[in-house]
Order: sequence, then C-alpha cells, then structure tokens
Amino acid sequence: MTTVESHDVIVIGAGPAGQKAAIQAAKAGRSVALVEREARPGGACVLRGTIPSKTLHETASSLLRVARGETGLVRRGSGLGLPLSAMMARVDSVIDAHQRYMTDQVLRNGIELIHGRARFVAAHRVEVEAPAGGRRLVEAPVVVIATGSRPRDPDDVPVDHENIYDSDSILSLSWLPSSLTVLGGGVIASEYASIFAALGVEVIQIDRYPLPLGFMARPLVERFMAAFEEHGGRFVGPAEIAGVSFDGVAKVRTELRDGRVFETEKMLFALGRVANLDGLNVRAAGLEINARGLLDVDGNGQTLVPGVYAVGDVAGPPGLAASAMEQGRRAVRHALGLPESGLGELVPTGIYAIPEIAAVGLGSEAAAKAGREVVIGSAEFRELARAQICGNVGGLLRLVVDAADARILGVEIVGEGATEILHLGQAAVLGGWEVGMLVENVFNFPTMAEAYRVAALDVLARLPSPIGA
Amino acid sequence: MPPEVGDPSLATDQHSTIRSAIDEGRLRVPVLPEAASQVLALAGSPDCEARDLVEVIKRDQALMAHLLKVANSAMLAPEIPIVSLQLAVGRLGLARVRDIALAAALKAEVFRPGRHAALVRGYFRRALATAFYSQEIARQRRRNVELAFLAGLLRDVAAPAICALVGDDEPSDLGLDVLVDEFAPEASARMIESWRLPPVIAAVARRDRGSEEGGDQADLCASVALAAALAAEVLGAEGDEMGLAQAAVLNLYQDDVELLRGRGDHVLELVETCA
Repeated sequence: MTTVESHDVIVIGAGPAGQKAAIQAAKAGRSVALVEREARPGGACVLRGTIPSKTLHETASSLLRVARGETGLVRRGSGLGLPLSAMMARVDSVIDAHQRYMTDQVLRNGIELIHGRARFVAAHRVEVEAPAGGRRLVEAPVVVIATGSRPRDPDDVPVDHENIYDSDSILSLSWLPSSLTVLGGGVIASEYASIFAALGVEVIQIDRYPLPLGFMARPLVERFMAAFEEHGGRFVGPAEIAGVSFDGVAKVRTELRDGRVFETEKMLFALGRVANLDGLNVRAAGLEINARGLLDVDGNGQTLVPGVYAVGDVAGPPGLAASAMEQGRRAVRHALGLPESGLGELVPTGIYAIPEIAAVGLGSEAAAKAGREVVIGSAEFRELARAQICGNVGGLLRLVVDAADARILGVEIVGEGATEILHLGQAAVLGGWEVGMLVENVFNFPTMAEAYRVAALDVLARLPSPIGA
Repeated sequence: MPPEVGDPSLATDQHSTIRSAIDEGRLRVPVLPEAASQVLALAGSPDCEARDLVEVIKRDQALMAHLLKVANSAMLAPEIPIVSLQLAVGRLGLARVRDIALAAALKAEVFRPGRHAALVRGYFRRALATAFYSQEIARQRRRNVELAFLAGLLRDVAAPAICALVGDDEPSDLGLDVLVDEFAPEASARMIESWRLPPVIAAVARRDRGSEEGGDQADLCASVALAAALAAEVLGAEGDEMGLAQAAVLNLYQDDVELLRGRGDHVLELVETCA
C-alpha cells in the first residue's frame, strides 16, 4: 500500500507564482510540499523566458548604447554575423546562480521540494511521478496550482524549431538571421521583435491589430514604434494571416489575406500561450478547464473547489512574473486566513522591449474611459542631463494626477530603464502622494528620476487653481 | 602457433598500440574531402545560401550522385523524378541537404571501409542514427537542431581510425568494440579539434560536460549520449543503460522517452536513406 505524505499546503509548480505561494505558506509556519517537474525551481520564467530574453535584451541595449555614442566602434546592426551564443555568454551562469538562490531560499524556509510531475487523484491528493518513474502520494487541505504556460503549438503554422520557432526555441538559433518575421503583437512578440531589430535583423512584425501592445497607453506605444522603425523594424497590422510555409530551401513565406506576401529567413511564432494543465488530471480534483483553456478563479485565486487555488498563467492574463508572484502570495494568505494589506493590488507592468515600457496605477486611457478628471504631466527624457549623458533621449514619463486633489494616481514610462525608474512612481501611488512632493523633494543630479520632477512641474502648471497656484 | 582470436595478451598489445598512437599524434586524421570541409564551413556560416551549397556539391560528382539518389529514394517518394541538384535542394530543404552532404562526405573519406569493414559500416550507421536522434531530442527540448546533428554525427568519428590501427585478424569484433569505446572519446575530440570545428563538438566527443551544471555543453553531452543509446536500440545493438540514464539528467520523463522511441522507425528510415 502506498504511503500518503501529509502537508498543510501543496504547491504544484515552482515558477514565480508557485515559489512565492510556497514561501508565504512556510513563513506562516505551515508544512509545504513544492512539486516541480524540472530539476530545479524557476519555471519557464528562468529557463526559457524572462532570464534568457532579458540577457539578450541587455546585450542589444549595450550594443545600441555604444552605437549611439558614435564612437565608431559599433555600427547599427553590428550584431549580425555574431553567434547568438556569444551574445548570451552569461546566460548559463545567470540561470545557474538564480536557480541556486531560489533553491536555497526554498530549502531555507523548510519547504520540501519534490522533483516530479503532479497529477490529481482527488481534490486534495496528488500523485507525483519522478523522472525515473517512481511515484508518491501527497495530500494537503490547501493545493495551489501554479504550473504556468508554454507557447501555443498552432495547427496552421508549421513550427519546426529550425526555420519557424516559438518563444521557447528562438534562442536556440546559431546565428542571428538576416531577416525575421514575428507573428503577434503582445509582450513576447514585441520584446523579441524590438530586440532583434536593435541587433540589426530585418524584422517584420505582423499582427491582427493596428498597433502592437494595445493594452498600453497610445503615446507609449507610439514611442516604441518610432524606435522599432528607427532600428529598421516594420509593423504590419491590422493583418489576417492566410498561410505560413517554409519554401523548402531558405525562406519562410507568410501570406496575408489581402494578398501581400512576406519572405524572411526565419520566423518567430508568438501568438498566444497555453496553460500547462494537460497531465494534471484536474477533473479528479473536481475542476473543469474552461473554453480558454484556463481554470476559473475568484479574486483570491480560489477555484470552485474549496481549498484548491490556481495562480499565474493557469488562471489567465496578464502573464507577467510580477503579477504571478503576487497572485501566489495572495492565494495562500487567503487560504490560511491571513489578513491582506491591500498593497499588493498595485502590480506594475514591465515590458522588456527596446525601449522598455512600464506602467503602474491608473493609466491615462483608463482614467478617460472611467470619466475621471485627471491631469497628465509629461517629461521628455531629452530634457534630462542624465539621459543626455547616456544617450537615452527618446523616452517619455507621464504622471496621471487626480485633478481634484492633486494625488498621483498612475505613472507611464517608455524608454531605457523604464522598468526600474517606475518604482519611485509606484511608491508615490501607494503612498497617496500629492504631486507637489515630487517638486519639493531634492533628487540627486543628474539622475533619470529627475523625470518625475519635470513631469510634476508640468502637472502643476496644468492643474486648475488653487491647487496649482 | 598464432594466438587465438580474442587472446587477452593481444588485446593488451593493441591497447598499447592505440594509446601510444593517440599520445604521439600518430592516429591517422583523415583530411576531410574538400566538399565536406566546405559544407562544414557553410554549416557554420550565418550566410549559407542554397546557391553556395549547390556550387560546393556540384564540384564533387560522387556527392552529387548520392544526393540525387537520396532525393529520389522511396522514403521521400517524389512525384516526379528529381534530376537536378537545384530541385534536390528544393525538395529536401537546405538544412537536410547540408546534413546529407556532410554524412556522405564523411562516409566517403572518414568511414571508408578498410580493415574491419563490417564494423566500420556499423559505426557509420550508428553515427547517422545518433545524429538523427540528437536532432529529435533537440526538437523536443527546443535546443539547436543543427548543432545536435553535428555533435551526434561526429561523436565517435575516430572509430574507423582506431580500427585501422588494429590488425585484420585481431582482436575479435567484440574486443575491438571495447577498444573503440575506450579510445574513441579522446581520439575523436582531437580529430574534431584538428578540423577546427566548434569546441563544443569536441567536448561532446570527449564526454566533457564542462563546469556549468545544466549549461549548454553539459546539456548537449547528455542529449547526444541519450541519442546514442536510443540509436543502439533502434539498430538492435546492445543496450546502453548509462546512455538511457541521461534522460533523467535531461529531465525527460518516461513518456517523453517513449515518444522518442516512437520516432525510431523514422530515424531508421533516414539512416537507410543516407547510409
């Protein structure tokens, strides 16, 4: 008879969401089993997504910075002809260091890390199969599903990982291709499209919408597009794909319904991801996979089955590591009846494209849609000494401020470093700062944070009296 | 009285002969045929185009004939006969043509049957099967498919050269196989280095996983070792438990391995087509 191991919490999947869920439960003094199908924690985020793509992003950004400096050392497109591995030379050690750190963190918190694939046998009981084939049973009153997602394998696009790649295989390229078609207009598609364009690859990004990244504020997307085009990229949209094929020799051919045809050396298919729910046997837990291939959850990540939670990509958008981490933490706090501060509701968005795009709080367009009276103040990076020094002059920071009480409601940034600079704005939104605080406080000079001061001054000039007086 | 086949003292002699040949750099390192060198150079070039490859292959009549034979083989079953190299490239695709051309060129020079001809032919089939299985594993794991093919094909590329050092009558095939198993890693790595191929290909031959746990080199080493074990299965050779154990290193589960086994017939067809 198989022994059943009992824990307080089982977390399935050790990506960003699962890891944070497990640590939250352990910090609350509960016994936790964290089941991970890969040999070490991290998930797709570490192995195939966030870390590898950001490493390439750093290389491309560095090359661009040198090129911008007009030193004559590097011309635009100088990445061509270099092995891709040379541009990602540090990625193995970065991944290794990150995984070691995460493993240490998990073990330090007394979490039992179980290497294997989980499969529900009942709502609160899971069978874990080790790679070598052994099986064990684990049960707990709280189960958190955090198995993440993988690229969609389309029926109509022959992804072969040699000519047509998905976002998991694109970084296995030996060399930068001379040309690349990117299908999709979301975060992953736009990040890779802009990175490869910055490296000198002739990129054509095709999507069914008129602009990529439609969920971000229009002025930010326009800046992104301007940089993309400056680097030689081309966006085609709105467009409907009629067919994709490899010509058998050297070109990937994309036909659009309007008759246009594009031929490039390689293609990246980045149209959607699917939740990793197959093999999990969620029906045994009393769960159903919905029409979108996800699990239905409430605001705390709880499924229809009490004590069973789903967080991160298995519960749907936005598909960002930061959101997934917060969902994991929140689900466990809810399951254990721990109080919530509410601070975690403000999750920033970060897109590691070239240039980076980031936002937090109430967006300018969301405010307009809600009929809320706001004042927008802008700061052009070119007005900042630090940006001039760094050659980072194409960016823009926008503050969204309540017209009634001058409190900062949101921040939107496009430009290199946007994902870092954003956090001062996040603190301002969380703290309910009045915009004047950004003017009255003294910032280091020269810094990119000065953009907040410039934008705040712009807001004050636009605010109706007496607030702006 | 001549010694008996498989005599342990003879095996010891052969062992010393091979060891000193490797240490003293006397192992015969075949000069790659010009076509193979150029195909390899093109394989490692970001600018490889169909017309470049066609030009290279056209200069080697034997290679061209072999390619046309493969393009018209039962496996690929073209509706109309393929009579030109350009059509063959169109039919097979640039990457496949490059692989076949490389395999054919190696067969002609490196795996040319001489002493222990049957054994050498077997090594060539094993190299092909390992190469094609390496590709399958790379595809499944979203790794570089071209590099995997090359690493698989060349993993034991020195096996024929080791056979050539051993007399026709000694030792038995089994004994020779043991010698090849022992010496091929070092000898193949040196051969690959002399051809100035990417260092990771030599590292795979040397079974050197590098210092980075889970790094690209370690991953490719484990992938090719697993490919060699699956290749042995599909060719009906002795089981390779150590090779199969690499599945766990690569984090492949039982059903992942079964999926790979399910590709065995396809791999075998490719081997028959190219061998």
